[in-house]
Amino acid sequence: MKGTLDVLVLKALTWTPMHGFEITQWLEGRSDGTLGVQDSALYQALHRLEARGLAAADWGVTANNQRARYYRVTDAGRAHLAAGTDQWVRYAATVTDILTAAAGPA
Amino acid sequence: MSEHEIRPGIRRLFRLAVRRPDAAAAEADEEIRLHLALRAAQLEREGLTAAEARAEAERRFGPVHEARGRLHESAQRREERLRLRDRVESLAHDARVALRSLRRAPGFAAVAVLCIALGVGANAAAFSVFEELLLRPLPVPAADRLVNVTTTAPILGTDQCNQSGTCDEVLSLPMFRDLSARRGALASLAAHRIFLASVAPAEGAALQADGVFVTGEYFRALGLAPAAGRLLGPQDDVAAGAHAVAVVSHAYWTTHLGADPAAVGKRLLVNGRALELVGVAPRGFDGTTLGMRAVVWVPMLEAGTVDPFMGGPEALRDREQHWVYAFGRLRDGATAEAARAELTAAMRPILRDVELALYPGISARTRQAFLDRAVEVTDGSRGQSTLRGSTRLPALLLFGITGLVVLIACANIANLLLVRGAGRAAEIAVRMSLGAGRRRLVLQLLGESAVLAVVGGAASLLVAQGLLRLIASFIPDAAVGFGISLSLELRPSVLLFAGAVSVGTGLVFGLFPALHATRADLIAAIRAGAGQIPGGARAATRFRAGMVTAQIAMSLALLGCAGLFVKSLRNVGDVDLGMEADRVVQFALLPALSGYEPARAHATLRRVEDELSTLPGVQGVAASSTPFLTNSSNGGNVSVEGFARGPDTDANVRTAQVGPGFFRTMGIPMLRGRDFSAADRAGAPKVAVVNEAFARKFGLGARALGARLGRDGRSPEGVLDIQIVGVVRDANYSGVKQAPPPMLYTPYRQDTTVNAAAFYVRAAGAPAATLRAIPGAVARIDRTLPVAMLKPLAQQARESVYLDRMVGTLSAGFAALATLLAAVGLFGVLAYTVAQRRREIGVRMALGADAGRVRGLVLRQMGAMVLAGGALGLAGALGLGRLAGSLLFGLAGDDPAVLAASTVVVALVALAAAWLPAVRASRIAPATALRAD
Repeated sequence: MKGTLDVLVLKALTWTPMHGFEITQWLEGRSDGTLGVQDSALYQALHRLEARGLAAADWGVTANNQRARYYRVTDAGRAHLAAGTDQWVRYAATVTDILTAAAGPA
Repeated sequence: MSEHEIRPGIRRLFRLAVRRPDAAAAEADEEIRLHLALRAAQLEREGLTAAEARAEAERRFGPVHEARGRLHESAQRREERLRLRDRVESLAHDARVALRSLRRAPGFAAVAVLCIALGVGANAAAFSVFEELLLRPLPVPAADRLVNVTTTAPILGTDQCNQSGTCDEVLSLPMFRDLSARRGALASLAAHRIFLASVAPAEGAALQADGVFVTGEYFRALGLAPAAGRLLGPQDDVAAGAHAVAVVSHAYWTTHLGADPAAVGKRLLVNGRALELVGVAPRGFDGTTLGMRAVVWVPMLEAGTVDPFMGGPEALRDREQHWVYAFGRLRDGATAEAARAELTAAMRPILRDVELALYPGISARTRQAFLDRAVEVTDGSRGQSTLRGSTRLPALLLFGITGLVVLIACANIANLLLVRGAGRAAEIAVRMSLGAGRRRLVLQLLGESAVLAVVGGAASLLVAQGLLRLIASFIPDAAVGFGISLSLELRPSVLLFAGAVSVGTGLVFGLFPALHATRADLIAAIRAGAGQIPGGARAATRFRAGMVTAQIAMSLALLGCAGLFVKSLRNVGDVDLGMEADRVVQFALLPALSGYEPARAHATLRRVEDELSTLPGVQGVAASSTPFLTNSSNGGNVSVEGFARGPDTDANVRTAQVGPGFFRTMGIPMLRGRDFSAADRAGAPKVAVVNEAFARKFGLGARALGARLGRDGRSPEGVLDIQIVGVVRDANYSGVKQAPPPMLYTPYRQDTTVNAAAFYVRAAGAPAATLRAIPGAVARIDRTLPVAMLKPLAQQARESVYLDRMVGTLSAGFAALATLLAAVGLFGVLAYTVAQRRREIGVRMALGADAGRVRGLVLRQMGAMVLAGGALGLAGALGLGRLAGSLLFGLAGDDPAVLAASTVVVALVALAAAWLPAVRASRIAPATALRAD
């Protein structure tokens, strides 16, 4: 579904501000690596979130002293995440209902 | 919001580094590098070789080259969005700051908004009038290609003119036909003539309104298309009396015919004649004459059958009767000059070979002038109307006057802003020293003016609406043949105008104070501390003094001008009408418009006259064929016993056919002889009553009584068949401002062609009861006759000078407003100066200056401004007076009493405005003032 990646990224950022690779790892850790998108798509999603004011970024330093761009979720981003989660849950429930209902004419 | 984030407004305020466009790409590259390195490291930890890990990292990232381009783009987009958001937020921030700072100064904000609202509101109302009267083109395609076609004087023969133009602009219908046959430069040429129309659908009530007779190319010249059915065309302009068709206005179709397309093809009664309704004119088009709304268009060749006041179809063929107005549309590429030359060349031979023979008795001089007549072709984009000529100057003056009011109001706002800026000098200095850009600060200060302008502009619409209602209340209601229909409202153009003026003035007059408040000598401002104004203030002082001087000058000019109008209006009110208008109620009946034959119409008028005199509380009833004080005028030439008449002798008199007891009822004193009586009826010897001006003009003196006279065109050739039986005092005829002309009164009961009349009913007590009783009395005689123009005669007299009353009242109001605003400005500046000079004044007083001396200090400052402003203002008042001269009644534009009085008023107001600050200055306690810092 469209916008799924955005919602997942926002979810990741609610834990703590992260840089791009940390977000990749967070998502892979929770999906057993089955997300199936290219890493570059994540960065595009981050830029999009930032442009829409859902996330903000500042340059910081990693534990190994490397310069990295840290993203964090904004208030608007939190609201967007809540709305997106609701929508996803309803969507998933609907799809589940349809797929598990007894077969027959509508 | 976390502490890391810098608010956008602050980033701008302190001019923090803003990322350059290519920086976004570099940042994206850095992110990609780090990601690939971290991924490779992870994979190596999982057991891959360095080279394998590198390749796998890139594979998972996606095709690096392509992905990099995409990321650069998305990073770029992000930067643009963020910058935009930044800008919007900073604007919203400025607006919030402006609102907050204005809320902290409610007095200042209220005065500023009030100034803008009053000034701009007055200006916008005047603009609405100005635009309606002078700017708006006819609602037709390519109106700028329309031209009005008129001829130069002298017109011989008779002329009938109306609100479509002056009596020199009318043509005879045959001459119009001759010209239109030779109209090479004109694509089409049309003639039209307004007539009084009583319009009734097959079943339904009659409406008395304006109609227009038009020739075949009228609608084609205008380039109009019908809203339903068809318009009139050349096929409706072939033979007299053979075109029983009509087109109605969209407004009439909507309000009276239910906008029913099936109404087309049905019967329509116009003045009692049955016509076929063939079409509906386009929406919004109501004729080409400003102030008149036509509801029906009828072919010109039906004029003889439809208009009972035409006297039959002869006028259509008569070259001596001038009564149609002409306009045309220029061919593509043709000029008005070419049309003029061509039409003049066409007219001259006709004048010489055909028309000259019609006027045998004229002098050689008149003959030459007649043969030299030319055709004039002028701009016709706004149609033809006398209203425009009579209202041009008043509309221009009111527009100009309100423009000055706006300037005065703006000067106040500029002064207020300047004072405010001075009060905030320290705050602004601090912000500038912290690195805020001047541009940015100026914009923020202008934001305050912009907020004031927007609020003031919105409030000005209320003022404009109220003023327009007031203006409309001066204009007589549209009535049959009299009164004026104008659309005075807040049109979109007026809203636009008000918006532009308020925002424009807010910004223009906010600019100097904003620039001044952010001028460069910050250090001086900080060092000087609050309440002290550093050296750069001299420019501001000069600016303020200049503003107030200009305000005084403008308000004096306006007061002078208003004084002239008010005095003129008083002169108009003092006019002795020569009759007793109080307690007289007027109304008019036009039975001819209901299709009555002349004999029946005449009988109806006589019966109504008799019925009215039986009403309780009625002292007398007078009828007249020509209504008084309505700008109506009828007349002709007379031959009088013992008066020698040559070819060029002026023998013109004005006429009224009146009922028995007319002079007694109207209160016009009978000097010699007798009033008309019921015995002066058809068949009895023809009699007349004349006024003093008549007796003077024809040298009758004491032998007026019994003298005989004849009327050109009415009495048999060379026969003096009318005898003068009475002489009355001069009384006004067509209007209040027009001096009484030589009058010939005759009994209408002796002339059975009279088919419409105005009635004057004198009440014993208050006229209100009579006013109510009249419609019932008329209905007892004839239930179908509409009663027109029912109102007290005194009201008619007032309405006949509505323009004077409107200009006088409005200009006086605006001048008072201007003076008040100027006084507020003067007070503000002086009060501020006193506050500023507290310390100096304290020192002076400590050194022994007494209160009187200190007051003098302040008053001297006021005196200088009043002297300079007064001199300029007097010059302005003289200029305005000269411009307005033609509008004044009974005084000249440089009336010394008015100029002196306005100067005194301005001086007194200035003194009053200066007194409080002066007294306050003299009460400054030296010790407190010196301790203050």
